[in-house]
Amino acid sequence: MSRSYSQETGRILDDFLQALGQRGGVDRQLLDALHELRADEGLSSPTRVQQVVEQLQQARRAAQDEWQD
Amino acid sequence: MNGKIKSLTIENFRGVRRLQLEPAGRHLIITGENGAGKSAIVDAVEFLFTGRVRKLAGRRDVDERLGVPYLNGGPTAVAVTFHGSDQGFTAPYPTAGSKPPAPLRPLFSAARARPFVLRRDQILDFINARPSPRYEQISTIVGLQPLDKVDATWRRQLRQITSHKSDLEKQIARLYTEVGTALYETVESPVTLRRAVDMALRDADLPPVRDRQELGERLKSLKAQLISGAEHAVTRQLADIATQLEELPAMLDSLFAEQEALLAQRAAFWQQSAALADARWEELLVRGLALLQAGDDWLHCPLCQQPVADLASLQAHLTERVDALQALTALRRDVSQATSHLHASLPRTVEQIDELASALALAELDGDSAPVAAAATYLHSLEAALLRDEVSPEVAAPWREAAPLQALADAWPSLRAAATRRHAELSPAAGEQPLFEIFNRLTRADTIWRQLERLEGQRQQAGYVADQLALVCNELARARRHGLDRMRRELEQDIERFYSFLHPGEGYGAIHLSPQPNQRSSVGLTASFHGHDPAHPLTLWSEGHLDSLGLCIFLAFIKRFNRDFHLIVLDDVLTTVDAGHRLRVARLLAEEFAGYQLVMTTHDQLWARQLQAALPNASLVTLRPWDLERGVATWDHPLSDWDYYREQAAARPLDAIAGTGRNLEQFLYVMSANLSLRLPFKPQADYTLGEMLPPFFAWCDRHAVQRPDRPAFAAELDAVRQKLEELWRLRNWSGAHYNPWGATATAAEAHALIDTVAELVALFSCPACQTLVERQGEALVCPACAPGAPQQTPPSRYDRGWHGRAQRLLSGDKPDACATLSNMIPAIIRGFLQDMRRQLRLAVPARPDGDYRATELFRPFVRFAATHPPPGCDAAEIRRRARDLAAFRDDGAWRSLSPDELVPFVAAAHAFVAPFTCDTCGGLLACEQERYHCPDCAAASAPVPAYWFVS
Repeated sequence: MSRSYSQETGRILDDFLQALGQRGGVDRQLLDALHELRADEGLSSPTRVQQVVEQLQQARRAAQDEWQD
Repeated sequence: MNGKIKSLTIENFRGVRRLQLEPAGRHLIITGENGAGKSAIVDAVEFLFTGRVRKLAGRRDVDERLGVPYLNGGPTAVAVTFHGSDQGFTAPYPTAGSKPPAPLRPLFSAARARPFVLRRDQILDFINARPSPRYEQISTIVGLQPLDKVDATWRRQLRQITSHKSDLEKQIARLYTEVGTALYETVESPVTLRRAVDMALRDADLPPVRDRQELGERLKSLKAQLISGAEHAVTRQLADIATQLEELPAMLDSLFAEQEALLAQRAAFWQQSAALADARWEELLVRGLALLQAGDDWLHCPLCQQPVADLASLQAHLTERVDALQALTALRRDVSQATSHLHASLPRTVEQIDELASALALAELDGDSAPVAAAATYLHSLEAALLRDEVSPEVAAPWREAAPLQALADAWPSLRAAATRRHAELSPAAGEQPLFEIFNRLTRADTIWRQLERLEGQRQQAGYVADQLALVCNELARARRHGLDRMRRELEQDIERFYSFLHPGEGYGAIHLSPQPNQRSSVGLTASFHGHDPAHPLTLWSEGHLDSLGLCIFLAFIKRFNRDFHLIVLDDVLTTVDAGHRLRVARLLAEEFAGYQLVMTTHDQLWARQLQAALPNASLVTLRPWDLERGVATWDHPLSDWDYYREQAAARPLDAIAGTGRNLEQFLYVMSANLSLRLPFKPQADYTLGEMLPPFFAWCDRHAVQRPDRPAFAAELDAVRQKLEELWRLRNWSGAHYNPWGATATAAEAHALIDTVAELVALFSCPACQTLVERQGEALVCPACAPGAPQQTPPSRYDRGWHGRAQRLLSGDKPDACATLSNMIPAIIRGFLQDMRRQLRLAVPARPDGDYRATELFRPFVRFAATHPPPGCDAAEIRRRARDLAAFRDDGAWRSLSPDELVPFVAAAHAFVAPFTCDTCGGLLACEQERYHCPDCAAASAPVPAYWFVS
């Protein structure tokens, strides 16, 4: 069970997500996953972060296959 | 609710057997000598909120189970109730299973989230720490650990995916090298690979390709140029047959050798076993032989009971028979092993000859392949017999000579020649060899290209994910850095402000918590010293300044981050800070942490008193010396320092003298600052009594203090001075320095010193709060109460002794009594009404001089008095008395009185004013919030904050 983020940690994470959303080149799926992890305080969970990375890889592979087809 | 403690009950915890404290939400100052148990109370508060005692937790060399419970005590627990709440909580030790009630959990979570207890070792830890551990401490206080964990998790993912991408790139590079070798070209990229393939195709007169799919087509056409697909398969098959035929003789030889060995061993076995038909008697023979060898007097054979004629011959015979029997047993074992080997090798041979027979049947060679099939059939029958362990004639006969196998051996040369010939016919011609070689190179290139395409796809995926993760990590690092910078700036502002408050104009400042270059998680500490370049405070700062710096840093963190938990515990943190600066600390705490509850411990009684005076609503608890029976305990009644020392003097006069002397030093030090005495400069301000007493009394000689509550101030001070000049050296003899006669100081001498110093301190202490006064202009003023200059109240016009004089005039026989009273009574009534206008704040038209006539005030006064009657009167009685007095007036003026009217006139005047005069002092009453009181009596009984004029 994750400990609640402190006010300072929460503020920095919110600033981070806002800045990341405003800059270009960030995968939409990744951005959504980051917001979801922030909401349920799973940003530091290695398992959940690993899942996000794998999903990103799968989506990329599917996009490559589709392009090649 | 924010954590202010209403009551605290500690049972069997550390040095506490049982202790109840009831600060009721106020500040709590705990004082006591070393070992009295101050820190045990701090430990209990820490344990209550966090479930652990920091200094005992997490150490292998410290047994917490031994250190937390009271020695041989009962159950250990700390209980608390909170100010402004009906909720409480008891934390038992061990804490397993105990949770605060739900409404209190946010409070306890806030307490656990950040430190709220400061001990001196923590100050030193923070200041002495290297930048990285200091960051860890700040991270813990601020609650940045989850953020650091987030950062670490994502960076680990980035490292993993980058490493994966790097592995893929290495594999790709290796494959490029490999395909380059196959194509005799340097290949480093898809472009150079295609170029190399095109060059190989050009050698085969084939057009270039656009991609790998086209290379497949080229290979197909190249293959068609070489041989047809079916021929190619047969060629391969013939090659296999040729190989098998090559191996056939050796394989059969091996099989035959095994079978021949088996046959030989079997023959030997049967031969020996026939000779040893009595082999079953082996055991008996062995035993019999042993008996014979053991006994010397055997005269009869143990088998036939016949007399033994030649014992030596019998023994030799039996030994020979036993040896033969054991050799037979060994032979039997060998036969069994050889059979097993044959069981294993025969099926393999059968299988291979089966395969060869099938291949020959398919290959349709010129030679006769029937002997192969016949041999396979024959071997199958042998295999079956062996599996049944059946010694058939076929199995027992030498296989080398068996007809089917002999026929196979005979047919082998022609078969081998036919296979070789056919293979040669179908293989590429000599002219086709270069093309065949190109085909092989391109086939290899095609295989590697296929692998490269797969790996390149994976590398692109990994590269994309790595780029995305790098974006995340970089943005997170930037947000983290900005957040830390923001917090650092805010903290630095508070630290600087606090420190300037404590050490104004002392040359210390410019305190920075700066990140170290190229270190993600580090916080350096720098400050300036008298304008020098910023450096670590350890470089130039004094111990006392470092301690107060640590305190300022802790307080800045508390102010910034402990907004949900308003309890601060300071455990003896200012031991190296001098008295003057500690007073500033007290004021800082009072000003900046008004909404917090402070729990502070100190062994210094004077400092405790100053704290109590400086902090509004502070309660002071003095602890007794600790003993095993009672544990930590408070004095049963509130004691002043002096009472404490007086009690101590009976048993330990030297300690009492030392403590009193310390108080005297602190008094003089504070007064040196408060009176701006001229003392020679000493960097550490370590003044002795001998250095401070003369300047202090020199100031007293030059100034006259007008202390209203002590008119004989000068005489009292002079008396104290004379006594002190005799006694103050006791301090040096008994505590500060070693002197043999100092050790003989008596309780009486200790009492004399205590009384004298107490009197001196009292002379310069504020009557309202006991804080030492300081000079402000032409006055000595209490800095804690900070009263304004005394108000110049207008003189009273009412003569409170008039009634006694009037009675004496009436009772006497003075000729002018009538005229005197006729003038005096109206003046008294006028003065009464004028004073009551001010006391009761009557609503009348303003007059700058305040010199109202009685006519102007009479009706407003009666109206107010009737609506606010004093005790013992009602409105009707007030009005009746007013009418009685008014009867002596005519047309707005007092009329002339006859001697007979004097007594009723005096009586009417007295009845009119009496309800509004004080029974105690005769002064006039005031009315506040519907209640009458005497301001003069109240002023006389309440201590007045010090504001004494100095001349």
